[in-house]
Amino acid sequence: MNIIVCVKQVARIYVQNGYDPVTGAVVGDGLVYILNPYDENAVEEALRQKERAGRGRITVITFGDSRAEEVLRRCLAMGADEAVHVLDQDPGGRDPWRTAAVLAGVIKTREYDLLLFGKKAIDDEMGQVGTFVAELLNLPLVTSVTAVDLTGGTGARVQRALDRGNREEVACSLPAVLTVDRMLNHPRYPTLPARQAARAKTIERVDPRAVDVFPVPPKMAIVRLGPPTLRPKKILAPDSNMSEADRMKFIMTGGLGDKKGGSVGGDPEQVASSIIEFLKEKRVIPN
Amino acid sequence: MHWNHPAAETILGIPGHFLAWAIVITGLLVFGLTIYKRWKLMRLGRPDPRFSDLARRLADLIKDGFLQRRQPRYLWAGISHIIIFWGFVVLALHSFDLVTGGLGAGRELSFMTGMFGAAYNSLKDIFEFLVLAACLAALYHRAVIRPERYRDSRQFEAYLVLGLIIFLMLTDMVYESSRLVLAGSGSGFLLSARLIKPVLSGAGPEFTRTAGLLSYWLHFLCFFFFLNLLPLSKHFHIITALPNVFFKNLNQGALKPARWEVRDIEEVEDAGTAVYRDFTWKHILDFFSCAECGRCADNCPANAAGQPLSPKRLTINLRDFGYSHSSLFSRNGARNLPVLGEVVRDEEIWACTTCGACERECPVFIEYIDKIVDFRRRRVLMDSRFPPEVEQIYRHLETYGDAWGTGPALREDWARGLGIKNIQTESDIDVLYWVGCAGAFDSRSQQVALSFVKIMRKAGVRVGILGPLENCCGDYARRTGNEYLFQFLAKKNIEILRRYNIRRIVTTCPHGYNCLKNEYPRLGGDFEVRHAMELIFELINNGKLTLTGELNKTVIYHDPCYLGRHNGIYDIPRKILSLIPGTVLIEADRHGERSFCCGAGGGHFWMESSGPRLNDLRTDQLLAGSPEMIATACPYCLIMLEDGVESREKKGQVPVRDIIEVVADMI
Repeated sequence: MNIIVCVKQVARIYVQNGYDPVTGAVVGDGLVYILNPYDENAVEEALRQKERAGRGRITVITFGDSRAEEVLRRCLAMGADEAVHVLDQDPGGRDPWRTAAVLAGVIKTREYDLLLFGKKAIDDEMGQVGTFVAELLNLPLVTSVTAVDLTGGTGARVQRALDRGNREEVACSLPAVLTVDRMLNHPRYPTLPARQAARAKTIERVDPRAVDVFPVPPKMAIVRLGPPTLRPKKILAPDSNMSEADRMKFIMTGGLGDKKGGSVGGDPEQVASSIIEFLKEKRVIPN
Repeated sequence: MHWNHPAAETILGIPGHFLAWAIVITGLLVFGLTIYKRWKLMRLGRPDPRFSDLARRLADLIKDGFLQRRQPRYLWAGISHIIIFWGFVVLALHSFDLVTGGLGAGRELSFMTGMFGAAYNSLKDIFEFLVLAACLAALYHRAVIRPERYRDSRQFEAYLVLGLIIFLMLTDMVYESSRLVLAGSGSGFLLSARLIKPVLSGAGPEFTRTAGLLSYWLHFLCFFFFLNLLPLSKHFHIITALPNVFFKNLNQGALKPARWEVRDIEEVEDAGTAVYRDFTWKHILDFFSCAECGRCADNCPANAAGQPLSPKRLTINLRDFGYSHSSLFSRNGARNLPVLGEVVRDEEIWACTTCGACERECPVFIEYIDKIVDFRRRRVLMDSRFPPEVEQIYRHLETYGDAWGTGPALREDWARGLGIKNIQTESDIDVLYWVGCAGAFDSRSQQVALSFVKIMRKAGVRVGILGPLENCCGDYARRTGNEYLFQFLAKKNIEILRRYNIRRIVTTCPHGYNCLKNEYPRLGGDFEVRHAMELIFELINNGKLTLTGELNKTVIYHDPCYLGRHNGIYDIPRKILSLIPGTVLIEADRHGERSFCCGAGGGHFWMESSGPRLNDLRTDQLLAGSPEMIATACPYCLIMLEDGVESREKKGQVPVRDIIEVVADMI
């Protein structure tokens, strides 16, 4: 069971961290870099499938700048067998087609039964690279995966997330590309021996110029890059007289829920009348 | 009438001293074999450096070992024990005399005659009487009063030993009395012997001789029986307690490293305790030394809340496990037997708040926190198996350097507009204010930080902060067992502190205080660290800070575990409060060294709990005295007690405040 997982290091912009609160622009100073959470789920799935099969190799690949080595070490500490670092000389404003072309070029020289990607990266939220790689390598693709079953002989039975909690079951042959959702699993916390071993491992470094990249013309051009147009937003600070639990709720919901109007009951006719009355009263619809 | 030493007589044709030799040789041989088994078990353990500061160790051995300083904390039991202990010490010479007399067929020890002999014999007889009385009192205490802390362990052994000691005292008293009656006079004023004398005199010389003979040999036998019972029972502490006190932990507030023999966590293989041999030799000596007194469990807050942790049960289970797998001839069976998950359950190790109450009470100085943290280290570092809420905090700490997950960019937000110097740009400061994660990110604790800055400015102390460069001190990670994350954070902090030539640090958080002061030195971070209470008190004494205004409230002070028990600061906060005019200071039953944990320590601030909450229990204890204000000196205690007051629906009626805030209002 040889699995390749493509991972990305992303800058974590959280609440008010990492951007200038006045202009709304992302600023370099406050940024922290992490392994893209969806990719972490992908690595975890690879580890579990290998454990279930009892044998195999897990290779993680990243196409990123020199700092991206940190996420490779993290993947190795989780238990990946080997890591490949394709050094990106020009990281600014990356075209997902270009990323996919480079990754596919690296992947096609290797043996694999499964290719895993996170369904999207939390910095640009594009969610395209996995799909494009499947296209370039002419492989079956299933996205937003929430469960993977490889035990049934050949091929895979995969569950994917639809809206409102629904699930779809898809069968496909292997090798295949799966892009995974966070609900797929809970990534393990690396143990100390794994971290120690990860530190000692050699990471294979690949120059993208040495890769037989799929010939894909650039499909994206950056027209303009600048701070967002500001909409004034009131950020309410929670009252320190509230308990811890209430303060947390306040921050997460934007304010203690104070429902107006209460609830209505009865048969559908009555409910409809009450709602219409309410809407008229609040002048949402004309009287 | 005349008196013959029993060993000079013959029993059933056998010369007395033959019998003596037989008993001594058999007794010592069997004893020796058991001791050897115990020694082998102890030697299984990992290294533990306990030979530093010999002068201090000796001094503490005298104070805590011989003078039994901790015993009177439970007054009547303590007094009985001190009497019995000193009885053993004083009577040791007499026992030696009896045995050598037996071996030498009645020859007396030369120094036991004359003035010394008379004085000693008088003293020893008084002690015999006292020991007898103390044992009877102890029997009454155990059988009738039945304190809670004695439960949860075998009673039979305790009764057996008390019975044996009483028997030893009585047989010696009868023997000495028979000697007194038959010889006509004795050396010294023999109180106990005299008490029995009328009984024997009245019964006649033949009865007296027989009684004396019988008592002597019964005493002799019982003595060696008792000696052999020691290493098989909780009374092994008679032998191991004094060494255990001598080897006690001198590193106040600091946890042991993952492995004493390995400096850097990166080099540690096999972190934590999973099998018996992962304990250090001192930990195993701890198991030997437990007297099952229950004082630890009696003061454990988790235990009081009905959680599955009992420090006493933990120690006894681990002791019994070791004993039952020790053998004389083969390699120690206990060596690689799993302990964690088998003898000790996960819920036990996670219930601990590391408050230190158990360690403060134990009369033989058994250590609990290091053992529990070592179990946690196994679960966190090796098994990756620990409460899920804790994992979230670890991720925050790794990524953002703080438990809240807010991030370095916002570390200075609490001080926005105050113009506090950041040490990155300004170096002419008097002291670095280590704000801590709570002070920086928790809105309630931010108020305390602001009050602290106000006080410093009023006193003319130039304070600087690290701002975004400050990471969590690492206390949370360390106490939940993540030694790796702790070192990661600590090394970062130390590197930054050294880069900016920081010498003096003050903090408003006892956890940060304890960590920086007691645990950073081992990682290369040696700084002068003080808690805000210490600095404020010094400033008041120097006249740099004057308190005006009145408080006019009844205030109860809650001792934070990491300021009080772990670092010995109890009086200063109280003195500060007393200096404020109109303050009436009252105390909870549990205060000072016996303070009851607020429930936040040991990682519990970020853990779910079931059952009665510790902060609610503590709040009830504090509110029992009807205070008008609860004062404390720790941001976590502050939050926990405020929540407690609110859950008791006294919010607004009884404010909870940090002393720093109270002082800030008075300047």
